[in-house]
Amino acid sequence: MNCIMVDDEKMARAIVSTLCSSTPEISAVEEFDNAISAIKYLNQHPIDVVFLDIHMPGFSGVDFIQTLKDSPKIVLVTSDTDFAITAYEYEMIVDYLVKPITAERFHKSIQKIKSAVEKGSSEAPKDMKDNRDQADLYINIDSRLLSS
Amino acid sequence: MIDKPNMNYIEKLADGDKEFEQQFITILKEEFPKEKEVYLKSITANDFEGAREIVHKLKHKFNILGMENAYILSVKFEDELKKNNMHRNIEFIQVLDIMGTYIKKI
Repeated sequence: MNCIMVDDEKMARAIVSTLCSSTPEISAVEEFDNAISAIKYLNQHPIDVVFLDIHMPGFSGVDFIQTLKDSPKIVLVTSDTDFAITAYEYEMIVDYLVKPITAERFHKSIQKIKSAVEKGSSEAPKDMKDNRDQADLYINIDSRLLSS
Repeated sequence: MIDKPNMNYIEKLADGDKEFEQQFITILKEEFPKEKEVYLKSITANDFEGAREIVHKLKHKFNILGMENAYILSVKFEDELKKNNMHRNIEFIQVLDIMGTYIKKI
């Protein structure tokens, strides 16, 4: 499996990258400090998993999820436990990691991701599928769709 | 009580790999002073939302450096900043100063 990391904090990306490097099942191929760049990358590259921070200035992790046309599996990574409920609202979210991530918890997450990928159960919500044929990239900020 | 920072988490994560450890230290030295500056500017400008965002980001670093009390303080402060209350500012700056001194030494 391959993955990307989306987090405005370099330290957080370095931690996930290190954990990936010690985990043979997953390979970190790219990292982004903002969600818009990650969305553009995902439109061009097949990726299995996104490790996604929720709190990012301007365009949050939730905006990112709501904007994705064809979603890979997503693991939310955050300092808060408040967003746990959000994780249950989207089928593409397979796990929820609270910072700082430990190696033990990360390896559990990899097993969850593997199961989800094998099961092939990821389905974007219907309202996202309806937008798949659109050529332009639209971003969802505070429930407003803006062209990018 | 302000707790002392430590490298336990980073050392455990690096698992003996000194190169990784150094990479983390370099990032800390690079990111922390900028984040502290953003915090101080936000407070000076009475930018409560800006201050709240950077406190949120800094609390991850407190966790990384094993500063549990500082983390708890940040959670409370973040919540209070939402209500335009910055009465924990002095205490928070003391934590930042301790962390800054530690990061300079490592």
